[in-house]
Amino acid sequence: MRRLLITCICAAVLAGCATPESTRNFKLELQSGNIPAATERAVKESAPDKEGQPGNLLWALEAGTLLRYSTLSERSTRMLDGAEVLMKEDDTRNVVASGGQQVAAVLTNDNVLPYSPNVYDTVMLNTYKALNFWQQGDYANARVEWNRVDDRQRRAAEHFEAEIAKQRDAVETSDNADLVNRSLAGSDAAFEKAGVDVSQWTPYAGYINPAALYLHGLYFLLNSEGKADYEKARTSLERAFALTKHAQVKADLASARRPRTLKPAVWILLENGMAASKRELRIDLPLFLVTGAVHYTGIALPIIEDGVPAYPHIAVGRQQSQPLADMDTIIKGEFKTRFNAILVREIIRATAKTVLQKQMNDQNPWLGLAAAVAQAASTQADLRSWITLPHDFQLMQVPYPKDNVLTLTLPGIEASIDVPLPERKAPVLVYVRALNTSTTPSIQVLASK
Amino acid sequence: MNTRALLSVSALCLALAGCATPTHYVDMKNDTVAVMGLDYKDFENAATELVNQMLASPLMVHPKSNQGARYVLTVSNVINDTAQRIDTDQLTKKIRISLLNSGRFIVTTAVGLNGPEDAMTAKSRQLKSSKMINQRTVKKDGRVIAPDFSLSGKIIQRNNRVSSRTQQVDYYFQLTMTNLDDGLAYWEGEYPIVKRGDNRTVSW
Repeated sequence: MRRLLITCICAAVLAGCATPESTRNFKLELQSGNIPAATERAVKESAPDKEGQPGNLLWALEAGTLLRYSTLSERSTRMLDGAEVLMKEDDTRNVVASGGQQVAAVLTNDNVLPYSPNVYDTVMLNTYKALNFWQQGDYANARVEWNRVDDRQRRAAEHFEAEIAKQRDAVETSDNADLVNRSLAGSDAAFEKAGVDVSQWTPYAGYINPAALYLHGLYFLLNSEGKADYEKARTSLERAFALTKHAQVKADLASARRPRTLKPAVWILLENGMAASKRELRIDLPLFLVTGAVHYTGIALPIIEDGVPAYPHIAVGRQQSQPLADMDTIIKGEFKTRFNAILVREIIRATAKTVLQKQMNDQNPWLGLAAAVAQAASTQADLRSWITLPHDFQLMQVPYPKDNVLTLTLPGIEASIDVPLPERKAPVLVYVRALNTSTTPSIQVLASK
Repeated sequence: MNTRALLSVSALCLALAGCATPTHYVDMKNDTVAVMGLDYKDFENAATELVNQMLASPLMVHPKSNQGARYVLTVSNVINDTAQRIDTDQLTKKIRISLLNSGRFIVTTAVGLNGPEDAMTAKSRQLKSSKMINQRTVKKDGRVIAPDFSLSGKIIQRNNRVSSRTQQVDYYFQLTMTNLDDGLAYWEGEYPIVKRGDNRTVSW
């Protein structure tokens, strides 16, 4: 029995410790500006089946984003469609059916579980698909995706309401509820000591992504098929202005109220840099858990680190883009709400492991030592996140150039970028994606209907 | 291992493995399976109901119908304003078939909002310059019939939370028949479909 237990622990530890070498290489490829290699890796790691349906959600998201970056809109949409199927499976996954994985996660860490998407992942997925269709001039499908974005945002607030209630229940139903509660009470001091100020992670009101909300409003303003669409635009732009206070959003809101005032112009949206990512923070648990019969106990938590903008702004002549929304704020805000659940889960896990370790130690000190080693090795934070999301979104509008060529400049880059615009002078969105300074920004022209 | 333990393990294995659904035909007349999105039953019901409403309107009868005259209809634009990736032809095709079968309407495929549905009507006139074609069989100009009515519409979706576990999705099928002579809507109809179901995931 003891041998079996040790074998199980070792196997589980090894599973949870699988080194994400591909993730490290992916980051290096992105940093060095080798987008084709990063795209190829992401597509391969997404594990597509014969029909092209990916099997790995996180890699499918990365692949979909990079295919978009290379203006392979159709492939990007197919990949993101596949990712959306996996998201649906995650939503409806039967906890009983995934019992084996859940047990393994308690014995090791959350890395053994499939990636569970954040709400902002789901909103950005549909936003990217909507932009893909818009870029292709497929306005019927773009409309469907914008409607999905709208519904995702509506669901966000109620999702987090339910999430907070679930976290409370998790503590109350834990086998070691008292120990867990005492550990939670002591955790704030531990964070403070580690230099982490959780109170700074505040989401936008209602967990809304203002950039997706603005783009939803802008789409229906520029591609309206009637009064109801202007109403949609007005509602979204009103909410986006309340969150961003951006002057252009205010001007667009005025246009949505009086559509006849809308004139041919160029909207420029900069999707800038790379998003906030996670690092691991190890914390020793309060001492009451540690007795003479326990060799090791501790928790490993994911902590959010700031994302990195590629450029401070984008400019046309002397006019510069202004911040519209901060993806870091969206990510940190949502992470803060999830953080309590992660903390509770990690403390429950550490408590269970520690209790087991003590029991084994009581039977045989060598067994106790082996359990301590396994516990130390398996204590790892889940650091997975959608890396190619941006750090922030910036917005500006300029008059439609007479020669139909828009000249963009980026700080630190001497050569300006000429963007040919459609001959027909009509409202147009120029969508600029700058990952970092090692790569040439991807520029897409999204014409209005 | 005792029997109870064996049974428990077997049951667990079955639960974990899941069961694949074998391919089978669906009895469409007695199919009661519902999905949160739109399926063939919704389009069938919406088309039937809207056509019945349309045919019940006295304004949808040609003044010379007793001499066999029919209105000529063109389908302009039906907007899919839902979160479902559907082809609005799933609705309009059924309506066109029912209207044609009613004997009151004929649909033109030579005229459409974004060009003709079937470009051959115009293209076949280009054979006038072809030496290969028997010119007596080439269709004459001035014979294509302009439409009397235009059918347009919208499919709308509204989602609402009923409880933490249940969401409600309302679909509205809205259609308008515009008299192209005076631009007035001679008939308008709406058919709502309301579904309640699982709130764990999105409705599409």
